[in-house]
Amino acid sequence: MQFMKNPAQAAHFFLVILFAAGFSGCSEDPNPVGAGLLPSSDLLKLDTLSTFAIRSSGQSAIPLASTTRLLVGKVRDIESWGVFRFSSLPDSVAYMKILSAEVILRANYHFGDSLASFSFSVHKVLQSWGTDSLTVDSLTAAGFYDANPMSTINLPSVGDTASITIPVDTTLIRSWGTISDTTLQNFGILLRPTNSQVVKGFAMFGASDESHRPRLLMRFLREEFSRIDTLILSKGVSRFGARILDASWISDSARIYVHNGLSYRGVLEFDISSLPAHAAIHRAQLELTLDPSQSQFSSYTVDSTVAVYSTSDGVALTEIFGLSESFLSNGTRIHRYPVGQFVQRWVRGATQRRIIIAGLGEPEGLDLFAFYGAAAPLSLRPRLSIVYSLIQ
Amino acid sequence: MTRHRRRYLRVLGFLGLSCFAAFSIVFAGGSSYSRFGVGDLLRYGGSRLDAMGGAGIALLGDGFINRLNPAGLSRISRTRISGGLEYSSYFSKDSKEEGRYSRAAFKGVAFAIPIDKDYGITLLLESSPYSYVHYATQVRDTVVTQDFFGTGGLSALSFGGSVTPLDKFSVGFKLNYLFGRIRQFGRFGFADPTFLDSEISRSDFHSGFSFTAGAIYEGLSDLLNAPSLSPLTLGFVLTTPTTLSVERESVFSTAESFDTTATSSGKVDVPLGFGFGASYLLASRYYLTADAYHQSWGSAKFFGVHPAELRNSTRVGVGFESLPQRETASFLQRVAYRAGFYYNSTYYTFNNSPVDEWFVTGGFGVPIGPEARINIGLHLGFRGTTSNNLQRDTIFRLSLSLSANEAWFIRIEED
Repeated sequence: MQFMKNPAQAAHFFLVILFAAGFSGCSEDPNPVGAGLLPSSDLLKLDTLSTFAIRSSGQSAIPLASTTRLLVGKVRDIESWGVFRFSSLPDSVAYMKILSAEVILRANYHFGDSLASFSFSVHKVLQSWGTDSLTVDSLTAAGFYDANPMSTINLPSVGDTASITIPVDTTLIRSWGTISDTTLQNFGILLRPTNSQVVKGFAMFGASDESHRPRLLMRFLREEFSRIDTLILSKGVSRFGARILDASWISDSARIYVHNGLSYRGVLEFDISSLPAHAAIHRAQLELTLDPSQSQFSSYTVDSTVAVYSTSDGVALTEIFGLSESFLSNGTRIHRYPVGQFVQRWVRGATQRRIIIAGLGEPEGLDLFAFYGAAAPLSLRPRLSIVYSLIQ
Repeated sequence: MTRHRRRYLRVLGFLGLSCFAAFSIVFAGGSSYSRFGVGDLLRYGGSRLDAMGGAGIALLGDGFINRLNPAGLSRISRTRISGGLEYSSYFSKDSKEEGRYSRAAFKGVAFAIPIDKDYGITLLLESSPYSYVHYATQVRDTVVTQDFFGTGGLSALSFGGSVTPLDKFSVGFKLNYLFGRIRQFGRFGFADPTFLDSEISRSDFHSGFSFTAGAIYEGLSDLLNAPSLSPLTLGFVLTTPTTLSVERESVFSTAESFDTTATSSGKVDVPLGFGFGASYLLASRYYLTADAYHQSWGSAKFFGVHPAELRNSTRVGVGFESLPQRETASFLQRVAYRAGFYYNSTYYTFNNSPVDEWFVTGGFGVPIGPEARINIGLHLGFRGTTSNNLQRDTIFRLSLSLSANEAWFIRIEED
């Protein structure tokens, strides 16, 4: 205890002891000791509610802006038009003579007859457009594009890894100006389908494989050197617009339809008034039964759909969603969605209790999912199963 | 010891207190008893009194701030500061399981500023913990694991003072602002991954005022004409009942959502508390103290309902202190030695089984300067029983406080 004769050392000693004691204590996970003291109101009591959709319908949506594929073609009553625009030319070629220009597109998808002939006309776009707002109606409207085609492409068939070349009028290229121009004149090129048995998909500017992206290949004459130079542009934006010419199936009350490409979505409405107002939702699952006879898929189908939360004014709140899990039950394909977050919001006072069903491949393909709706036989109706507890 | 060194030690001490205050929120766990009422009630009189069985209602003196009875401030001659912290370790068991928990907590700080020594007028500014909630327990089955946690507690911010209006009779008072947030969490982890793991939390913020009055009388020997009683002092302290306003918020959250499910307000009663104490200075060297304190929780209402788990509480304690010798070169003889015992019939009762606790206490007052001490208090005791579905806590507490005359308010010429 010699050190104890020095008060400063003593103070240090006791502080160190206390710190050591404090730090030694942090090994704390809850364990069952004392659990028997807890009042029963603290403990979770699970209850369940199973309910069916009371209404089903459908709605058209503006397709997502980001797409890595351009769909062009026509099959049965579906047609899709494509539009794309390369980035502006560099200033260095402003005064060079353009000898030739062509667009090279690489195919990566088909919907319909893969061996059918494929044809389309190439048009100059006359109006400015944006990828987040262009709809099929504005895309196909008169005045959006020059009705006189620059060229028409007729191909016997296009394989799903083949490339096609579209010649482009050099005067069109020159009319686009260069990057330093203050007025945008580059509105791009429109592809209008003229075939009838297939919709082809082409890799676009967001394709993960850069070699698959569209290329604008131009050849210039450099007169001072009497030499021909080549310039390739592979950056730009694109958009497709698809529509269905005979939409009579929309009035089918026994089913909801989810059509990729067309961005047509199913809408379900539920009544959960029997759920207590202070319920905590621990699990809510929506199950939809697929009607394969009314669905249309291809080898490229992304076999997933997504449940999206619908705001009170019917807008899809895409950040709140549940991705489907697909499985077979007694030979019937079921899509099941986790929608706990939806129901939790409903319980907290959301006035509309609707769920929008969209295709995960909505911007990439033309698949059609037909699910049984609110007017279907009970065993096939959309079912919502909820496990909840009451918050104390 | 140089002045610089003393200051260094004080700074070191308060840095230590501050660090512990910060660390105290890190540690989890504690007794499930604190789930009830406003948590475990703390009757903190400082580490000196802690080591003496918590008995000090009748203690007067210049060397410490009596945080049990404001009348005990009347002998303070220089500005004094006191701050403390506590490390506690719990070994808890019930009829099936056992577990260990520990925590550290800041035990508040107090300033006493003498105004007039002749009239015993001293001002007090004090921040003290009033109760704490700290538990972590678990209910598990094949479907769901339910973890329950509680944290927080109430604190008292007090302003008051003392005065000696008559010879050998001191009175004191303090106005207490009781406030604090108590949080209770339920965390539910499901075995089935399709369920959303979730958490329900309830946060209650309490606030309200109470008033404490105290008195210490040293003139019993004169009153009874019994010179042998001249070392005897008697003390009394009373805290008025109050009703705390409580703002409650409940939140349900999952990995996907965060939802405020309810906000409400209510009232929580804190009942009248009063206590008596006596101290006897034996041979001018040894203090003997005894206290009894009672609080009428048996009729207190929480949100309009009396909780079945609460009853009246009564605490009795006795203490002993061997005063240090000041004029000696021996460090060990300058150390104060303390011991005590207390019994507390706590305000908890379950299934007609009251929860009582017994503690033995001890400690030291280690001088670190002419007018400064580090007081160390030790508690070892038991609470509750494993029968009747209750739990038994074996509790060890180590408290430390720094008490010093503060020269910060006095101008000193530098060397």
